[in-house]
Amino acid sequence: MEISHVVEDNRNENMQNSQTLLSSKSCVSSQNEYTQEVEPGPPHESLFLVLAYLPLFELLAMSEVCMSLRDAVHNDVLLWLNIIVERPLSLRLSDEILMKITSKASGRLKTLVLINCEKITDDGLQLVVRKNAHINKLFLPECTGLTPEGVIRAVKTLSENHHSLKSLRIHGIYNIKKDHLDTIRSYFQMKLPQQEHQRQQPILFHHRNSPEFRNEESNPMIGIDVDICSKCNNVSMVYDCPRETCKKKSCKACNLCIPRCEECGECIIESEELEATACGDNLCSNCWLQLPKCNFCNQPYCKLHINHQHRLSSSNGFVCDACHVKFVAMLGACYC
Amino acid sequence: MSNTSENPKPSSSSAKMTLKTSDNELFEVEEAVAMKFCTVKQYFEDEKDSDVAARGSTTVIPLPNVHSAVLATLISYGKKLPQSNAVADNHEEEETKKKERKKYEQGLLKNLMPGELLDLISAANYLDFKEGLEFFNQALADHIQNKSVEYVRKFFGIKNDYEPHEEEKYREEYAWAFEGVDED
Repeated sequence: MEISHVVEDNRNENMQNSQTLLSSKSCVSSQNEYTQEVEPGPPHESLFLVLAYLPLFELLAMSEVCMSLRDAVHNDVLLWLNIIVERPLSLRLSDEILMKITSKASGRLKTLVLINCEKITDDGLQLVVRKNAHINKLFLPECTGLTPEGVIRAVKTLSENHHSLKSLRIHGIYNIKKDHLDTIRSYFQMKLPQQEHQRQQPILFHHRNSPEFRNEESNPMIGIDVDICSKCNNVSMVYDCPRETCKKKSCKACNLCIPRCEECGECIIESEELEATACGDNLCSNCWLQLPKCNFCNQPYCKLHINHQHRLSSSNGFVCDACHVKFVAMLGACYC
Repeated sequence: MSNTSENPKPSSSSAKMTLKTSDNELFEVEEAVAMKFCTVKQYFEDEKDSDVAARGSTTVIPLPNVHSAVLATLISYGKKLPQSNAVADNHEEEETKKKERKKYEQGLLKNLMPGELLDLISAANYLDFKEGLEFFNQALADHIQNKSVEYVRKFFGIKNDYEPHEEEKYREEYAWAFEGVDED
């Protein structure tokens, strides 16, 4: 990786002396208990390599750990070319701070991922985009401070200059209508006519919350994430079906029109009864059968909500939140 | 054995090479896996393909910066990756392989001490093992996700060499980033 080599070159002089000491330390300590016995010292060289994988908040936290990490973080432009803002910073990120952060890329910003950054406005976005014409990934999911017009303006600016925008995510932004989507697509189309509806990865419902943007080098999702639902004609996330028999794609629709199983992403056929779950999410019958159930009400949690399980010390299995509350109330009543 | 499904063309992947670590342990590795370590690949860059198998079986490649425990882990991770010479599987086989790999990865990470993880990253960097570097770096990044500065210091045993007033100033400058952070 180019990034790691650049950082390493910069650090080599400082690290020569401390490095040999530290590598012998870590060899010894990996055979012993690591944590308590090692005296705090300068950071391991691998920490400089990890910097490239950190979203913004963690990057800043690392920069405060010690002086050499601070220098590494602030002096390396390459770390600022891919900005990822998620919890806990997303709700605090204002236009001004965004400007400050993106200016460190010196105009060469490649990836901007702002997840649920509610305070960002159209003007803030526009300023960034005007100064960084080479952005090729722009992810703005649930940035509810933006409007479709603002998004269009940004996409237009990017397509005017260098056409480098390859990937756009805008689900969760309010009020996007078909016209807006068509306009945005036309800007994408200007660059690569064949790529309008082309997606290299099928969009699967049960993977929708995984941090795919980090692994996108190997599985790039080119284009726009939202589409027009074939049933309700609204603009939203439209999912592909992993079920082999759904190749005819008649179930390619939004989640409201065609419910999908939280575990396997398959469409839930209308004839099947929707089984009850403790978390309220949808599950297909197969997945419902396979998941462990609450000892009292016999409803399962999906994997996303598995930490809501209350384990009882006396028995196997678990109790769901609702039953647990009742159980505790019952116990309390017994002692009154 | 799952090996037969992973290596449907046994003739091309039977070539093995020997790697020698800093503590003088020898590892015999299949060519397909060893070639994922680009540093090792470079060794054979000048040779023609037909010579590689012959050379591979006789040459011992020294890796003076890599400890045997670390190399063992990197090799076993390399084996689990999709091989470049494998025939494309159908969708189901791919899914099961992916699930297997995920399980293996989770098991691997659970038992890893921070020092070991750092050593793995260094070694993957030295060997230029792209997939390993990516995986372990991401694992480390995921681990320190949302953690406070103090946690990171303690976890990696890093000394805080800031002057107190400097640190104050720095925190003020980035106050918006650090306000209201939970302690782990």
